[in-house]
Amino acid sequence: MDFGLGEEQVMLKTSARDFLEKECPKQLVRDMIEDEKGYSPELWKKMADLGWLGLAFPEEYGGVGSSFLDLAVLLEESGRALLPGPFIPTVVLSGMPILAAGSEEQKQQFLPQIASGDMIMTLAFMEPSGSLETSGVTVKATPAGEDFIINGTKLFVPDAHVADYLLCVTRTKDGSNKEEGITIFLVDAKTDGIQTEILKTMTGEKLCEVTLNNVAVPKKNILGELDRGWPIMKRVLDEATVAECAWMTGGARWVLETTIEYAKERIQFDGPIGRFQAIQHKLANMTIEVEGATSIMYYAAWAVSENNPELALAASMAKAWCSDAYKHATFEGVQIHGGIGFTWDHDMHLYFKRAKASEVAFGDGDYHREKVAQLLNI
Amino acid sequence: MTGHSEFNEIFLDDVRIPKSLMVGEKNKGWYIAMGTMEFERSGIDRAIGRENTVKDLIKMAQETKRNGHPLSKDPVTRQKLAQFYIDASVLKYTGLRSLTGQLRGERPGPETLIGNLFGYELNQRLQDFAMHLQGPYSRLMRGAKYAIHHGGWQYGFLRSRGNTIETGTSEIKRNIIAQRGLGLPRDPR
Repeated sequence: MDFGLGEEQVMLKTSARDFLEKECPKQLVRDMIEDEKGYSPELWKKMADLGWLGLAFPEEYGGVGSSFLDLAVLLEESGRALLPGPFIPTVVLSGMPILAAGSEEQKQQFLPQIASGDMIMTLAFMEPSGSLETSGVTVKATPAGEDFIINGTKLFVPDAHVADYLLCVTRTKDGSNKEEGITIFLVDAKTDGIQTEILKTMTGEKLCEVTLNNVAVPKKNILGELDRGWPIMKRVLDEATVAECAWMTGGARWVLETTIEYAKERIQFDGPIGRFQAIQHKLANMTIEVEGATSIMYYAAWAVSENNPELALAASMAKAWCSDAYKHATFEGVQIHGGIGFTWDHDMHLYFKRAKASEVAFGDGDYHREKVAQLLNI
Repeated sequence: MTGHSEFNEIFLDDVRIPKSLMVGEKNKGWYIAMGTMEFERSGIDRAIGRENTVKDLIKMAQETKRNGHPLSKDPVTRQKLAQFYIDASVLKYTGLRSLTGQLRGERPGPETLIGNLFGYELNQRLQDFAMHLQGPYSRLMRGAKYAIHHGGWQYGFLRSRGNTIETGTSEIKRNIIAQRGLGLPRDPR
């Protein structure tokens, strides 16, 4: 029985932390909020050179051949650093489904390019309804000769404005069973008829509205099978959920550690404020939540790596817990820092806003608690 | 963190003030400042404000559909909305008690400290709940296309984090309630 990180994973974690502390300082994070692209192509190339982007792809596709659990270690450190850019969209939302369901030709076309840092991708799934359910997929794809023609609007698509390709989740058949008739297309972002607009977000991350107007996509760009895209999506959503939890856990731990340091250093009423029970109890509660997040997140990442039957339950448990934990950590992080915690200058608000955005990504606590109830047959 | 500048630093460099402008007695200023803060903390202004916020949230829940149903029909949401309305009512009537006391010329009592503390923490919970109702749309800021109610709630949410710090932190206020309101002994420092 081994519920700890392995030696190699510890090395990966340490080197990732050192790398990001140097290459992704908070000034870069702040600069990327205003930056048009929202990420640093130089940093992206360095990540590619380290093997980060292809970490979980097999070596035959230009990857390192590591597991999803190893990737979770990297994602945790990235979340701690608030790494700007399309890491999760390219690797988890696009690369992983191509690896799982793509044809050999598609895998050869996309995966090595993702691994080398030459291809940015994202997933266009959610629509203005804001739904994560199959009934939320209404963007239509109609057959026309060798192509399909896509029409509709996708919303909250991360980094679509810099993506080379989009995985577009469409409805190709509309029956009473909404799970049937969903098809995923690999869409060249330069295709005629695609319009992308960046939405103004609280975190400064680049979420986009993508409007598709008679966008023609060749039949061979279907990922998996026609009308049978939902099982692929279900898996993507579970993996995305766990990836997000890893990101959140990293950030939450930064918040906890930084706040503990402050409580020890901040002198008020003749001593460090950390000596007050109120502060101590808050920090103790934060510790319960952050340690808990670490436990459940790594369990879920392991379950994904092992393709364990409890994968979906683990993912939902992790997301429900982490959604609350990260948020609470930042609420108390601001509070314990007092006035300075509320300022723009202090880094706390960067994590605070990230926590709120992550809370609703891929389903919030209520959504996942209901899923847990269903999976437990309550 | 809202991106706005509300709080400032004031630097005093040999500023001369005529003695006639001294408030109260020399060296007794702390007690006067604390006295004014008691009135500031009486929170009677919050009494009506929060009720309106809850009504706005109820409306938002009624207007927001999730999976084909208005959120206001979701049992979990209904419970939370109902409790918020109860909380806002408790705040209102506590505020009116405070107001009555002030009109009668009485010094603010412990019920005023409760009103202020409870009201601020209620506001934080309400603003966070507004984000919760908006779901994925909660990420959109003021001025964003698709922002709900022009992103006004987003500003309110961010601003609300200062509520438990300004006019004294919630932790200090709880100590004051315990020590001054309830007469409990001070913690050994």
